[in-house]
Amino acid sequence: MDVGRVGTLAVSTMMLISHMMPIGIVLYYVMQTTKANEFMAGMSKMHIPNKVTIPLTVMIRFFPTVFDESHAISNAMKMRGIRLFSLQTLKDPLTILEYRLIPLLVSLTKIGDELSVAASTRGLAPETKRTCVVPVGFHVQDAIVFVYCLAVVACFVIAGRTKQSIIDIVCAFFS
Amino acid sequence: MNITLKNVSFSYTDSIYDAVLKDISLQINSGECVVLAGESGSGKTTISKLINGLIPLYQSGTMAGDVLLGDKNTADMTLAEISKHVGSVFQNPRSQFFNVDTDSEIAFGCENLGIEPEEIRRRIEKTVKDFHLESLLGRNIFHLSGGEKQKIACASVNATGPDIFVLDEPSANLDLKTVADLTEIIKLWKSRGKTIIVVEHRLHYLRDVADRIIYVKEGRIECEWTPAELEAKGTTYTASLGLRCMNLESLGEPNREDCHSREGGNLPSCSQTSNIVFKDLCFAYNPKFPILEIPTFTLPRGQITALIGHNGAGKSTLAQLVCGLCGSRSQKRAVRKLGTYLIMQDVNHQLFTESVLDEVLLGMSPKDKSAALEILDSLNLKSYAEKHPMALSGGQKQRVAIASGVSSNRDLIVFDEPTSGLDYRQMLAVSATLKTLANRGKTLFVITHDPELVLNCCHHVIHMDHGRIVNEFPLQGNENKLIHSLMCK
Repeated sequence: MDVGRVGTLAVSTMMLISHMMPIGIVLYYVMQTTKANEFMAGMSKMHIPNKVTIPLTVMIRFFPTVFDESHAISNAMKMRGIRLFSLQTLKDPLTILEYRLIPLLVSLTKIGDELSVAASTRGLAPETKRTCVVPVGFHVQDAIVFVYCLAVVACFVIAGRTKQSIIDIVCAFFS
Repeated sequence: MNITLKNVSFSYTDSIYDAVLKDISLQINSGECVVLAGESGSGKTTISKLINGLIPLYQSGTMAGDVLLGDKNTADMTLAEISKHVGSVFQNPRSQFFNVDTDSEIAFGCENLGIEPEEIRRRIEKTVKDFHLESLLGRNIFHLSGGEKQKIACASVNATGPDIFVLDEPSANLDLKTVADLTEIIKLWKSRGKTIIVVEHRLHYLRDVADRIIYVKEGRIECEWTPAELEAKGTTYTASLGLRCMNLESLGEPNREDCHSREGGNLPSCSQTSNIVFKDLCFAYNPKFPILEIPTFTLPRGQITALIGHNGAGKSTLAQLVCGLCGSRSQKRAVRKLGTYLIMQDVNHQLFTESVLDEVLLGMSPKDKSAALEILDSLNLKSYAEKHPMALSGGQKQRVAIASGVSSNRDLIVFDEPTSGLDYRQMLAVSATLKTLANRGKTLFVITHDPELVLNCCHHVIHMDHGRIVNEFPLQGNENKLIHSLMCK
């Protein structure tokens, strides 16, 4: 086996994971706390067109399904005695990816189609104007969080430019 | 609002010669409840898609003829417009939700129609009261049972207040008790003068609400009965059309000739040799509230045992325990020694390879091609050995999954609702497969809501409720008891 290639792959995977992690965390947080209808109402208040909002909403709905399906498939694999680490998978690591992905893709395609059918028979369409039972708006709390986030980003940008540490910048700001 | 289909033909391809619907004309009057029955692939679901506008507005294909809602042609409307008049409920509860929580889901349709929030809240309140959904509000839909999900789906459609309801096999994943709730919902709609179209294999729960049963065969409307007319023709007649029975109670009558002839192969003899005994099956997410507590239960070797009980009784958890998918380490070890295999309800999850033959060889050690072919032959799959498993039909996929279980030399095979959503003929085919397996000496454990399957092939029945076994009996002579247990009476 080519150790060099595997090593490179391992390192680059780590890099990818560490860089993607914050995005994943934010996505998880949004999915856990935001209901689909609130998300859509918020987006339409920000005058973002339905053509952008609807696919994003579908994604929010889709991720829990992906985990659900993936769990069922890993159960099926256990049943078949296909293990993540075995002689067979070490010889041919791609097969395990194939076993995992093919059933997942097949079932997700089907679910995706059924979901969009269900949504369109219930009147979700780009051209219609939606209402929302939950009042959604931009309030003082939102403004505070917004300003705070801007400040954090600004600190990082200044830190990058001046090669100072973040703490120094914050101290300098308040002194 | 009247529905009129005028000489409609439809094909999912570019050529009208592959038509799944051939020159259909149908008039459904306002306030009628019409059942579209027929075997799988007969085109009945396609008719329902014509009414809710998915054809021609969502599904591509070739269409001839006109579909009118009132006096408007669906081809000239948009799906959003149609959704004001027609509400649809689909077969699969897991994929017809757009929201993760129940409240937003009920409001979803109304919000799409742009109804004022005040009015939406009023409608939700009324729907919740009509459907008795108080206990389901504010819940995560992913944590609901299939029956509860289907109720929410009906509620959500109801809140938008359409004149026409189209239900596509709404009962496929439900137990008989929840199916009875579905009947109540349909009755409520009917009493309010709504038009209801139900596509179904299971007819018994529509006996009292349906005005007409329309039988679709090979893309044409073959005949039409009132429920009373069809019931009078008897179970043998409905079975010959591939339809499920009209009257469940009649299934329980002993010495019914068509149930005891046991179509599709003979049952293996009941000479009891030995039992597989399970001890101390317990499972809990929270130790204070055990989901499952079974001190001991036995499965007779080489025979078919049915596990019944309503949705949420712990049947699937028991199956997972028996198959070593959950539970303590020592339990899993014991199960592995025994050799169990689970055929999941959604078989798409358990097919991994590029050909049917590879699928069977995957679990085999040592790999023996001729033995694999022999197994495929016994399940009528030999001619598909080189095909891709995902290219097969649902029933064939299920048999491939079974073949892979057989090839891995497991003695106990567990089936999770193998016949949900199947017509009579397909159910018989599954039942014949189960008998073949039992004849090969396998022990089978079948989770099911399907009385006809149990009557056709099972020896023993175990009835579960609230995580405990409440009843255990041999089927012979206890047919009535079975029906009553299934209905949870």
